[in-house]
Amino acid sequence: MRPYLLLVSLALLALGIAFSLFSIQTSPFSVVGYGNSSVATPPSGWEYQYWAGLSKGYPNSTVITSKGVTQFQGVHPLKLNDTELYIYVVRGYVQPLAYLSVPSIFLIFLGTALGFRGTILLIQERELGELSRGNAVSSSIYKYALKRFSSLVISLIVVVAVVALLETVKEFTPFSELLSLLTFNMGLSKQGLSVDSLILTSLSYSSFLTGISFSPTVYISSFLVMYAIRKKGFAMSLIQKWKYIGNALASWVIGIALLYTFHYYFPVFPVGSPNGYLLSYLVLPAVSLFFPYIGIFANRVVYTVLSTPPLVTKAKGLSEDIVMYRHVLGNLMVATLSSISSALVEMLVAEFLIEAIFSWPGLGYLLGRSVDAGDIRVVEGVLLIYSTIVLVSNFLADLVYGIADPRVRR
Amino acid sequence: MKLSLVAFLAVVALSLFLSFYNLPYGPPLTPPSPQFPLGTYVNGKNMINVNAVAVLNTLIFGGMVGVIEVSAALAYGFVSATSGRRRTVMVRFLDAFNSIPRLPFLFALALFYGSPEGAFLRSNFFLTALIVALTGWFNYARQVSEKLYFSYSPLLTKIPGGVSLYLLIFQYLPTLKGMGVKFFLPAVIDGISTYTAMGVIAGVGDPNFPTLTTLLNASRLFTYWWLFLVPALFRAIVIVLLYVISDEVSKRYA
Repeated sequence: MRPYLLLVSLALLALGIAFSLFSIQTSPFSVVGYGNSSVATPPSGWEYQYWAGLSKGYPNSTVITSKGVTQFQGVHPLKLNDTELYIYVVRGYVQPLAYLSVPSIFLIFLGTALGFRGTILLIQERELGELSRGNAVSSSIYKYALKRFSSLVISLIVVVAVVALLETVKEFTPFSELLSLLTFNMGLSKQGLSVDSLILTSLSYSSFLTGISFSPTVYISSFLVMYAIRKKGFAMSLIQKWKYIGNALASWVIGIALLYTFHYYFPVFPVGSPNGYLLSYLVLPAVSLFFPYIGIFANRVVYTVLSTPPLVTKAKGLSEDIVMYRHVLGNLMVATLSSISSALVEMLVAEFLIEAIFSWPGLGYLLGRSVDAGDIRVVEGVLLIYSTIVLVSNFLADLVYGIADPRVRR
Repeated sequence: MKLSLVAFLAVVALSLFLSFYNLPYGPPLTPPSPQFPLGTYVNGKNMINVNAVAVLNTLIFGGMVGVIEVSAALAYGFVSATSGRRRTVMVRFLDAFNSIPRLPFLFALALFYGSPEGAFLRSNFFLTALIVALTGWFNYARQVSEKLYFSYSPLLTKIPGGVSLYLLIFQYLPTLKGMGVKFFLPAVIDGISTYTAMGVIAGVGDPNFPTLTTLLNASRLFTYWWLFLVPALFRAIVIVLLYVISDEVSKRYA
């Protein structure tokens, strides 16, 4: 069963990355409206399209009347000289499949979490064969799932309540705002675009970056940890010291260093919104995220392994291999359950920073630009979507690990 | 530990001295040379002085956050540990607050008092320290509450008429002191890291109190390596020293 778990995880991961890749595809799009008035108003519902505002620029307008054609930046009503027939065209680029960004991030997370589990199980089986199979006493999966789900709901209620409170303090109407929040409708941004569409189009880029950087980090960390456990000595010491290097030279410091070296001094890699060969834009952000986090995550797993008291291993009277690969690694699965979720949270925060540095048009870049523009609705929208991603990911990790490992349910 | 502490104190002492004692100014943006070993800043100020002030401001910010976070955590943890039922309720609040994503929440709060300038958010240094601290103490409080609650002496339950507050404080004081010392440096690092994240993502900062993050952010506007490399190096030194000392302190008070 173990190799299949790894294959399933890779399939989920590939599907998640494919979804995010589809979701960042852009195509030219226009919305047309017409009327007979002295003020030309934009066609209704234009705000709710998935405009690729961050990556391709915000839409522009063209107003056509019998007297000529007027083109201008942005979308807003245009006063005409007389009452006359007009055609209002809003043109720009959209990401028609932006909604795929939501399933993609969950698939990437699930794939990574299962990959971590699968890697450890595979190593256990290679080292111990049949002995690696556990016979733990389990409890009801339904009760376990219900408990986790109620925890998810309570946390979501808290977040929604906080956002609603912020809205109320900002003197919006609390009840209709709360209703909008519960339906994930965050209204319009200062630029006039729907906050939901802004968030979904930028989440596509964040998902893609997560898929490229988060999963290899976790996979390679697992192998590094296994190697360090087996070899001890230098490998173990390196992982333990990497924590300091990873935290001091955080991803954003490495990011700025790479920006200086490989963009300003030696213009090898482009930065900003991908325009052309996508992979060349990905290299610098992905490396900046990958390097410190591989050490931080590996160190966290190693810490769990090392915190098993040596007395326990001696008291069991078993060989060191059995104790390490069966018992310590077995318990590691339970202990690192929360680690994988918090690793995602930390990676997303680091992504926010990296996106801001490299102007990668993801959620972090959107957050930064919205804060600088004082657009609190977008900030609240990011708060809500970010919490939802994290909480649902936690729930999924709990559920999947609960199914895969009965010890987790106890 | 001793070596790290000595090195850290040396960095602080040197920064303190160089934040008052101004080295000669030079032409703006002069690269490092024997006359200006770390170069000069955009206003011609010696980069040694600029970095010294930034190190101090960074530590002041972290220190303020550390003091507030630890005080709040100890107070809340102590009150919650005084009774089982009270603890059950109070700990649920901590869990609820912990589920709010900190960075977007901080940005939303900063927008209430800061002024968006298009490319950055000008926000008061002290108010930012306060909101960073007030959103970061929940995890510590939970640990304090747990530690105190489970260290409650069974002997105290036998006192007729309940335990006085004085006796409780007396019993918990050594644990409270230990936890305060243990959590202080992680809270300082937490403050610095969070402010860094706010600065890098949205340029949140106070021009009157430039920190190492402010310098690093500003360096992105230019292509002069000494504007970036020097603060990055200082930041790395300060954070590594804080981490090493913090780990040693944690081991001692584990």
